[in-house]
Amino acid sequence: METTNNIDYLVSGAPTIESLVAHAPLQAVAPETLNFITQLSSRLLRSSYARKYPEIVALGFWLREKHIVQLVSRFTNTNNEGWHKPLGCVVHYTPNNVDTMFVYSWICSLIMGNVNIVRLGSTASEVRDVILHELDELFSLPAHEQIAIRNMFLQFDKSSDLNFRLSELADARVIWGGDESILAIKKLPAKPRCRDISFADRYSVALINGDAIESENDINQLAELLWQDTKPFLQHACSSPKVVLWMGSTSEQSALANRINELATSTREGNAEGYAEHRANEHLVTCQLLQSQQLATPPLCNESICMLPVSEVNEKMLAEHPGEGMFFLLSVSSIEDITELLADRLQTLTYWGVEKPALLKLLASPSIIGVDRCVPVGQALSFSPDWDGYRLFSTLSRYVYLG
Amino acid sequence: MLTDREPHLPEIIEEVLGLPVYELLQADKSAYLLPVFNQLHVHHTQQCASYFNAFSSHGSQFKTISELPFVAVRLFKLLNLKSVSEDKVTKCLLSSGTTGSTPSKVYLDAVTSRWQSKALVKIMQQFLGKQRLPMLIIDSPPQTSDGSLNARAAGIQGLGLFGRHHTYALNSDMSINWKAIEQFSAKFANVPTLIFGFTFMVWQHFILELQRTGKQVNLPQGHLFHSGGWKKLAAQEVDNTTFKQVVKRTVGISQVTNFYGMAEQVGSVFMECERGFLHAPVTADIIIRNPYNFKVCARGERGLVQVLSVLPYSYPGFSILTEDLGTLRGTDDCQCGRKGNYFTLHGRLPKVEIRGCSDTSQSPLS
Repeated sequence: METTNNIDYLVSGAPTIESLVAHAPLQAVAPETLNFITQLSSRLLRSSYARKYPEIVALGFWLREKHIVQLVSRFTNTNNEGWHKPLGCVVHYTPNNVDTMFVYSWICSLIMGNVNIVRLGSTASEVRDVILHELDELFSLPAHEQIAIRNMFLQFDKSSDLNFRLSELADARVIWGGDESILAIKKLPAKPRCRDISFADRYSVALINGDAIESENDINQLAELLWQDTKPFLQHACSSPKVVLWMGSTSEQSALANRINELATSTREGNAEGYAEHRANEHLVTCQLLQSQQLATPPLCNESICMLPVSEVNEKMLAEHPGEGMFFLLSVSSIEDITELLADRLQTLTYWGVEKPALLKLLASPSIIGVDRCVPVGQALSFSPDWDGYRLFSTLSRYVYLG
Repeated sequence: MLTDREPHLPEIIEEVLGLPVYELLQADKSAYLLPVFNQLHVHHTQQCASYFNAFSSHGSQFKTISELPFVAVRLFKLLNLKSVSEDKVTKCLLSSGTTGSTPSKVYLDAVTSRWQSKALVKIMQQFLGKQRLPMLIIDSPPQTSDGSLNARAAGIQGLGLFGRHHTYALNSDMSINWKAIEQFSAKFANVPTLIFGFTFMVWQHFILELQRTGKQVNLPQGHLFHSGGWKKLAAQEVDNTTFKQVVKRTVGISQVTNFYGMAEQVGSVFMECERGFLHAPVTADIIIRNPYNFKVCARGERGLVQVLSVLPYSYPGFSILTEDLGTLRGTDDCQCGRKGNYFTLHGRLPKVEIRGCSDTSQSPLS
């Protein structure tokens, strides 16, 4: 029976899902896989769209040979205790607007040798189209045939029973999305040993030590790094900081806010895209709403970005956080004070001016149930195969123990 | 000291209500209104805790009208803002605004309501004269309610002051009440009449319905006033000019006046003049602000519309930043002769697009 009838969009070297899953997986960290990734990297970096979309550059850079080789080194150094093998078929459910994130998790699965079916969300975007176009081109080259016939990107109607079929085929499901979408997908029948990797709704914070700011240069650098973490995906990526926790001297808070604002303003003036006219008004509404409830004091800045000093951070405030360059600024007297703020939904803690031993001590505290990543400010969005508490290379492979 | 000043505020608001509606030069008008707005700011900081929390840090005694704080209009949806005690509230206006969203809540006391009516009367008289006219309302008769009043009903009630022989043109299911219209037009075909309705209602349930059925309504001396969003009409590619042309063709009415007003500032409406510009009456003013940084826009620059009115006493709505986009077209020099600021509107600020990895609206299954 023809199953591609209700598929709206398809990039694959396999004509049907049946033919795709009929192929045995490749071995983990296969040379042809690494070669394919290198080719994809150089295509993305050469793309004429790279200049327009920093996320394409970031992805292309992440995929470059040197970096991938470094990431997989622990799998290539064989020992006698065992080895990693692919799981089989991994089905990916992509998020809709954080256009490039799903590529990272797909690449991790690809590296481990799996056959992949990537179910794309219904919202098209130029970034996604650019990536899919490059994949389509690569898939058509004989050199990449073995990759092409084992990977499929498709889009189909939400109501289609393909959702059930894909789920039944999966040895692992990688699910990006809001809590509701994830729960809906997890309800679909799957194999008993199917692994679910859920990238659910999370938020992130930056921890800044005001005492470590010693010069204007420090402010400029910190502003650049914070803005780098915030600008992509209009601050809606789970890893972008929505809250700035500030310890130490608060004297440079305004200077920092103004510097980020300058960066944001020049971004807006250089490229109006994404800088909708509603942005400052949304921030204004949030400021006034929180101020009227005594949860905030006047913003240090509300123009191209908004820095709003708040007296607490609660779930409701986070749920209503408008994104697009808004920071809830919470001053704390010491690093110990932030323990109770690191709730289970907290994904990434970025830090600046804080010593690692202090962080280690903080994160080791048993009362902290959140924080899956702790990286320097500026690296919030740098994808790592260790993401959201998962170690993707391990989770997307089977470890064969040799006794 | 402040409590000393407080009793004067109602009196000076009354004074503004006594001024000519469109005759003051902007500079004189600003000089007149600034102290009123300053006192309103103090009044609301004293009487409304939410307003105090959000705006007392701005200071008081501002030197220009543009320095006054402005309340984001959405706050009236998100909070219950009032500056009088509960027992003084005589009604609460509910405006649904965008369909399906939480309504704005505007708390009115007796004196604020009275000023609103008075301000509206003075503005309308500029267009209609002092005589009450037979009034055809392009809406359905009001439903009995629980003391809260939806903005549509409040608007009808407000304009109703100028009418006599009030006739509702629509049934409660929004179909045309032919019998009522026939009686009305038979009786008043040759005298000036007042016709009022919300822009979309007039278009969808009256004009289009007349066109569809091919029936005639003849009210050549009628003057149609209409107000409300253009979003649904824009979707049908109907603009103000088309609207006027079709009204003339369908019901023979050549006097059509659009006006800009909102539940959050009832009374001090902005009427469209013969030249197609909206004018601030003496009780109100307008400032256009850059949507990116809220700086005051120059004449000719598009931005967010801030509306100011001396009337909001029972709720802190004397200075509101709307989500409407407009352009200041000039000051004191409109060819229609009216003084003060005049402007045009370009519709709503585009809606926020939700993005992010937690975008549940895009669930693969839902």
